[in-house]
Amino acid sequence: MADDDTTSFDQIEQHKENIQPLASGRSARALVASLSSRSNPVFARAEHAAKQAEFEEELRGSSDLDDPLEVWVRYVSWTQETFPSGHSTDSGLLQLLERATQTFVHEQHYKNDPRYLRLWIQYIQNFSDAPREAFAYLARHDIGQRLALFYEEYAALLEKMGRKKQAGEIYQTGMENNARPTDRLLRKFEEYMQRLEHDPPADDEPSSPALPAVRPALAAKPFGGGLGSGGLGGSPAPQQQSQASQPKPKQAKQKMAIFSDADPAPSSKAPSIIEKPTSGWEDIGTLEQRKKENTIEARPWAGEVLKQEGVKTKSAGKMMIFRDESSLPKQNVPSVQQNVLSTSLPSNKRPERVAVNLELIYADEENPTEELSFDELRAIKRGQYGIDWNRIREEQDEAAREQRRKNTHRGEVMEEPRAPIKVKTVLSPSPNRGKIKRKGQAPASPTMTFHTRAATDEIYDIFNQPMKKTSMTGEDRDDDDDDDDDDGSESGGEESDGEDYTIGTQVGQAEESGPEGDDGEDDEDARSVKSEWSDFTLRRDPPPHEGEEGDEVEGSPEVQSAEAGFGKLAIHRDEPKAGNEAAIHRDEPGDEEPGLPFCPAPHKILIPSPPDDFDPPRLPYHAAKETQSQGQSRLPYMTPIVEKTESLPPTTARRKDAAKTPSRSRMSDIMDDNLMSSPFEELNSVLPPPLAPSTIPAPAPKERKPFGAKPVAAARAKETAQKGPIIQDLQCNPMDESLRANISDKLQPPLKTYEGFFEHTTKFGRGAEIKRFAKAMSKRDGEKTTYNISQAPIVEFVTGDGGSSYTIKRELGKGAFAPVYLVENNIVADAEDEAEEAGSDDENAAGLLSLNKKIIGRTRLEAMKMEDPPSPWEFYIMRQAHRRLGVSRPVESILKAHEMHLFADEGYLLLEYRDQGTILDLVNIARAEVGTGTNTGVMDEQLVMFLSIELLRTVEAMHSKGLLHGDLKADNCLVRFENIPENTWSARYRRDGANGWLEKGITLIDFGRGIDMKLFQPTVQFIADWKTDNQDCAEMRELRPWTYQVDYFGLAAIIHSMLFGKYIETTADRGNILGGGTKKYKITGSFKRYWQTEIWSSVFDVLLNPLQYVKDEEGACMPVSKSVRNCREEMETWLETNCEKGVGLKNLIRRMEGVLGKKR
Amino acid sequence: MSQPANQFELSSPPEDVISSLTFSPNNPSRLLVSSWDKSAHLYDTNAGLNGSKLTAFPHAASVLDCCFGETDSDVFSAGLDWQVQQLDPETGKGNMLAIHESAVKSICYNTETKSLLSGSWDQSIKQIDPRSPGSTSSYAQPHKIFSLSTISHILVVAMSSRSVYLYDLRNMSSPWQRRESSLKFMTRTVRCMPNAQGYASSSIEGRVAVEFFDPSDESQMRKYAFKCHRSTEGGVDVIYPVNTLAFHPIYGTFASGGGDGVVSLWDGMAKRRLRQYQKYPASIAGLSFSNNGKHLAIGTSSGFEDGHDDGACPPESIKIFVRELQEGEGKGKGQ
Repeated sequence: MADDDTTSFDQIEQHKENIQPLASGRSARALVASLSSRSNPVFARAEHAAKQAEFEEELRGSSDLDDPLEVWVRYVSWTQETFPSGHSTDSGLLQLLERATQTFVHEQHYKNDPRYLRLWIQYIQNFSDAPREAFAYLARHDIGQRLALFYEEYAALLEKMGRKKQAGEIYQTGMENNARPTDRLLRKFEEYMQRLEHDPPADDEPSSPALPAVRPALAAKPFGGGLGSGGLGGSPAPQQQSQASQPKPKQAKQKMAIFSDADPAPSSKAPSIIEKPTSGWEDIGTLEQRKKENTIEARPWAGEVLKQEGVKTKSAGKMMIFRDESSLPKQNVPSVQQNVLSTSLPSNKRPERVAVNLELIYADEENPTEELSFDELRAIKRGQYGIDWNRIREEQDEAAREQRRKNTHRGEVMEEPRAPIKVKTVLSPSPNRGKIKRKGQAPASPTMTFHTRAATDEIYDIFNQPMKKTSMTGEDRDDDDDDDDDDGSESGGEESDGEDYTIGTQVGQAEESGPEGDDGEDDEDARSVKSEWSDFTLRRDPPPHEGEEGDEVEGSPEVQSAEAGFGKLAIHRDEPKAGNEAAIHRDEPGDEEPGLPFCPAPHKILIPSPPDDFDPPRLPYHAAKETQSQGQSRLPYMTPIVEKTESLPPTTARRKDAAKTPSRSRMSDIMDDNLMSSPFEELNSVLPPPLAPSTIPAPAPKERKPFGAKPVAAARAKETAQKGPIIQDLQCNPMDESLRANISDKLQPPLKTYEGFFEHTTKFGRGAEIKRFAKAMSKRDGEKTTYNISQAPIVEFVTGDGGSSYTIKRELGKGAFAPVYLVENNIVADAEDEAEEAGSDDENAAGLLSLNKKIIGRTRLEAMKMEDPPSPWEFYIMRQAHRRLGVSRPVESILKAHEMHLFADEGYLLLEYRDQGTILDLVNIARAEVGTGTNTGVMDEQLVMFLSIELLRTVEAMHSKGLLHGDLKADNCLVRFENIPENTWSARYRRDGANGWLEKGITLIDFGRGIDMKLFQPTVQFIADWKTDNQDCAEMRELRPWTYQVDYFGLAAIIHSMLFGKYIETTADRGNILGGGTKKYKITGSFKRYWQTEIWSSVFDVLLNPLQYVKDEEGACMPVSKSVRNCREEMETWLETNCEKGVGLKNLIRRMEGVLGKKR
Repeated sequence: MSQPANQFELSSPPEDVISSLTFSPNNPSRLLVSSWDKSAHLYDTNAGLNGSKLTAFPHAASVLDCCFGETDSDVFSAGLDWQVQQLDPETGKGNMLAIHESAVKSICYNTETKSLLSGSWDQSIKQIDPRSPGSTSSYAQPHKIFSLSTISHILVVAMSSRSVYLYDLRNMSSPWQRRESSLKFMTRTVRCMPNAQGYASSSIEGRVAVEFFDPSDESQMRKYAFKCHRSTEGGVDVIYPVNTLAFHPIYGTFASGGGDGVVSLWDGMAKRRLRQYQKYPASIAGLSFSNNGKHLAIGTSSGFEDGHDDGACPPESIKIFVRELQEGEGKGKGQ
C-alpha cells in the first residue's frame, strides 16, 4: 500500500485512536507502513526486534562516534514511527528515552543541544510522573539552560497547572539567561502576558518561586544567600556554576532537600562537578525506580490464591453465608426454627443467628425500616391489631345509653356507666383457644367480640327487606322477645357467661332446624359458629377476680350491655347464613322498640357440648383466604363483618344461579348483591332495583357500619363549585404531602362524594403479600402453570354496595412507591363467564350482563396501582381531568380511573388497562431495529409527528382546564391504537379525527404528580425541592420557580426521545445580548436535514422557552397554549399533506401495532 | 427448676404474656404487672410466703405497660385498647385519662413535672396531667413509639426505625436531641439512669448501648455498646433480644433480661458484668428493682422474645420471680 505515492488513509482511520500524537506530527506514509505491518504481527515483531538489535549494536559502539547522540535520536524517532501507539512492551519507548536522557546528563557539550533537550521534553511530556520535578532536575544539571525551548516548555507546563506567576518567573529567567532563540522566547513571553491580562492569576495560586528556594534553611545555608530569591534558583547561569562550592558538610541534608519538590537553588550547584556525589540529585531515576514501592513483584500465577478481603481462609469452613436456615438441624436449636442469619459480618468467630424471626419483624421488604415490635406481632397474631377502638367505644356508649334508657323506662335507678364495658376477660383467649387456633381457625375471629346495637341495627337495615318469609317459626321470635325483657332484671353475674354463649348456639340451632333447606355452604357456617361458641363455654373457668367482677356488677347495666354485645356478636357471626338473617328480620318487626335489638334468652337445653378436641370447621371463606396467603401470620386482620358483607342475603335468583354453577356460588353472590345494592342505583335513582322491593336501606345508617367501608354518598349530591383557591401560598412545592392533605381535606365537593372513591378506615395490609406474589410470578415467568393461578391473591374491597374483587395476575410496572398490577376484575369476569355459559340463546343472560351496572364501562382486565403510603391524589387529578374535559377528544387520551380504595395503610387505584405499551416501547422498538434494512434506529418522522400532535393536543387541553400532569415522560404515555376495521380507517390523516383517526393516539398515565392549578392562586409559582436531573425542566434544575414549564419540558423530552432515540439534553444560550438577556434553551442534537427542521425547531423552542412566548398569550401569562397550538397546527398541516409519502403513516402505525401486539 | 434460697415465685401470676412489671417507687413490696390477659395486677410481694395479689384491673384489651404515679394509689396503665387509664387500687376500676389513635405501647411517670407520658404506635406521645386529664397535650413523632423512659426533666423516646428522641419536659415543642440508636437493630427498650446522666437502650439483637444526655463531644465519646444475651447452641451463636432493662435505684448499675431467659447485672460505668443469674425457664419479659434496691422482680413469658415464631406462650412459662439481693449485690466496682 505504501508503495504507491498516495497514502491510503483508510487504514489510519481505523487506527486513529491508537496513534499517539506527536508535536512534530507524523508521516502518513510511515504510519501506514507501520500499521499495515500489523496485519502480520509475528512477522512484524521479528522485523522490529531485528531493527532494535541493530540499533543496540550501533549504540554499543556509539562512544567512538563524534556524535553519539545522533544514534539515540534516530533510534527514538524510529521507535516512534514504528510504534504509533506510543510506549508498549514491544516499543520500549519509555526505557529508551530514559536511557538516552540519562546517558548524557553529564555530557557537558550536549547540555545545550536542542536534540538532547527535545529527548528530555519528550520523556517529560509523555512519561514523567512529576514533570515539574523533572524540569527542576534539568535546571539543576544545567541542561538546556541556554535554550528557549526549555523555558517555553516549562512555563507552558506551569501555566497549565495554574501557576501563572511562576510561569512568568520562568520566562524572566530565560530572558535573563539569554536563552536562544531570544526573539521566540520574547514573543512567547508577550503572548503569555496577553493571556495574563485576560485572565489574571488567582490570588491563591502558589506564589513560591518556580523552582527554587522555598525553604531558605535548606537552600541558603550552603549556597549563599544571593540566589535564594531568584526564580529558578537565581538562574542557573553558567557563570554561577563556578561558585558551586563546598556543600560537603551538608550532604545528608541536601539529599533530603533534593527530593523535596521545591528544592531550591539547583543552579547554585555546580553541575560541572558531575562526578561528585555532592552535586546532589545525581539521578532523577527511571519511572520504574520512582514507582518501585507501588509495584508488585511478578510471580508465577500457579498456586496463587486471590485473597478476599476480610475473610480468613481458616474460618472458611465455618462461614455460614450460604447456609440454609431451614435446613438447620432442629434438635440443635430447639426453640428457634428458621431465623435469619443477620449478623453475617465475615469474621472468624462462630456463626451467629438471631433468635427472633427477623422476617416477621421486618415484614415489609419494600420498607425495611418499618419494623414490627414483638407486641405488634403478638397483637397481629391474636387479631387484636388495627381494631378501631374509638368506634367500638362509641358504639358501646350508644349501646349503654340505649340500655339505660330502656332501664329507666322500667323505673330502675341507673348508675352512670363508664365508657368501656369490661367484659373482655370473659373472652380472653385461653390456652385451650390457642390450640384450636393452631389447628387452622382463622385468627381474626377473636376480634369479633364486640358489636353493638347500632351495628346490629344497620345489619337489620341492610337485610330488612328481602326474603321475609324464609326461615324460622314465629315461636322462636316470641321467645326472643320474652327473654329480652326478662334478661335485664334476672341475669346474674355467674350466669351471664353461660347465657351469653347459649345465645349464639341457639341461633345457630334454630337456623339448622329452620324449614328452609340451605345449601351445604350455609350449613357449614352454622356449625362453625356453634362450635366456636361452645368453645367459649368449655373453657369457662374464670379467674377469681373475674368472679368478683361478676358479683360486683350484678344487675347493673354493664351486664346487660355485655349480653347485648354477645347477642350481637352472635348475629354477626351468623351473618353469612341466610336463615339467621332471616331470623333476625323476623325478630325486628315484632320488637316494639325498633332501636333495640333483641336480647335473646338463654336456651340452656340447647347447649351442645362438643368434645374437647373438637376441631371447628372453617368457614369456606377462611379456607379460601388461607390458601391465598402463604404467611398466615401476615394475614390481613380484616374483621369478619367486613367479609360477610359480601355475601348478602340470598335471593331466588341467586339460588337458581348457585344451583347452576355451584363452584361459582360465591361470586354470584357478589353479582347479586350488586344488583341489589349498587350505588349506581342510588346514583341514578331511575329504577328501583329489580329484586329488592320498596325499602332501600337509607345511606345514613350504613355509614355507621362498624367495620365496613364508608359507602360513597351518591354523587347526585349537588356539586358545589370550588370557591376560590385552597392554597393561598404564592410559592410552594406542589408535591408536598401536607399541602396535598390540606387540599384533600378542603376539596369541595369532598373526595368521598366522587363516584368510585372509597375510604376505608381499616388497614388493608395486603401490600406485602401482593408484592411477594408478583415477585414470584416474575421469577416463574414463562412457566405457565395453573398452580400459579390458583395462588393468585384475590383483592376484595368491601364497600357499601357489595364491593368488588380482583385477582392479581402479574406486575405491569414498578414505581418507587406504586407498583402497578394487572388484575382481573372478577365481577366482570364472572358476568362474562356466566353470559357465556348461559349461551347465546338465553336472552336473560345477555340482559343480565347489561343490567349489571357495576360492570358497565369496565373490562375484564384492569390495572391496579398499589400505593404505599396511600394518596387519593392521582385519583383526584384523573377524575378532575375527565370531569373538566367533559366529552371531548383529549379526554380519550387520559386514562380512566375506575375506583379508588383508600385504606389506612395502602391505597388501591383501579385503572383502565391498555396493553399496547408506552411510547418508550416504541422508541426502543425502533432502536432495536437499527441496521435492518433502511432503519435508522429512530422512529419515522411521520409517526413522531403524529404522536407529537396527540401529545400536544392532550396537554394543551389539560392546561386549558388548569391541570398539569407534572411527570410527562415517554414511559408515562401509553400507546392507544384501538383495533378498528380496515375499511373504517383511511390512509389519509385527518386532523379532526375522522375516518378512524380518532381511535389512534396516546393515553397519559401516572398522574401522581399532577397539579390542579385551580387550587392555587393564579400567580402561584412552584418550587421543586427534590433532586433534579437532566430530565427535569430547566427551571427545576436551576431552582427557579415554575408552573406549566414542567409539562412543556416533559413534552419536549418525549418528542426528543422519539425523534433522536435518546434522552433530551439541552444547552442554554445567552445569545448575543450582554447581561440581562434571557437564556434560550436549545437541544444539543441537530436535526437530520431531511426532517421538517423548521417545524421541529419551533416546537422545541416553544416547549423549552415557554416564557418567551407568553407575550403572545391572552393576558400574557402561562400556559402558552396559543403558541403550542400554532405548532400543532403546523404539524397537522404537514402531516395531512405528507402522511401518504413513503411507507405511509397508516402502515407505520399498523406495523407498530403488530410489533406491540407480538410483544405482549 | 429448683428455687434458689434467695428467690421465690409469686403466687397467682397473670394468665397471659407479661408485658411489663414495675415496683412502686414508694413501697418496696408493691409490684405492678401488666399482661396480655387484659389485666393489670397489683401484688404485695411481702404478704405470705409467696406474696399475694391485691387487685386485678380488668381492661378492654391487652395491657402493654403500667407504672406508678406519685403514690401507691396512683396506678396507670395503657394497652391495646388505645387508652391510658388511671387505676384505682381500692375498687379495681379504671378511669380513662387519654385516648391515642392506636395501641399505647409505653407509659412512664415523671415526678418532676408530675405528669404521665404515654407513647403509642400512632406515632405520638402525650403528656398527661393525671389530676386534670383535660389538659393533655399531644406531640407527633416520626415513628411508632416503642419505649419511653424519663428521669429528672428528660424524656427519652425510643421509636421504630432506630430513632431516639430526647425531650426536655419543660419544653416539649421540639425534641431536645434527635439521635439514631447506636444499635443496628430494632430498639426494644430504653431506660434512664437514676443519676440522670444518660440512658441505656437495648435491641432485639443481643446488644445494649449506654449513652449520655450531654450532647457535648466529650460526653458522647463515652457512649458505648456491648453484646450480651447470646448463647452457643450447636456451634451457632444464637442472639437473643434484650427485652428489658432496669437500673438499680441506689447503685446505678443495671440489669438486663433477654430472650434467653438470662438476667445479667452490669456496671455501666466500669463496663463490667457484675452477675449473671441462673437461667430462667423462659424469656425475661420484665425486670424491676424495688425502691430500696433489695429486691429484683423478674417476669418471664415465652413468645416472640425467645424465638417462637408463632408467639405461642405456654402458660407454664408465665411466672414472676422476686429475687432478694444479697448485701452489696448489684453494687458496682469501686462503689
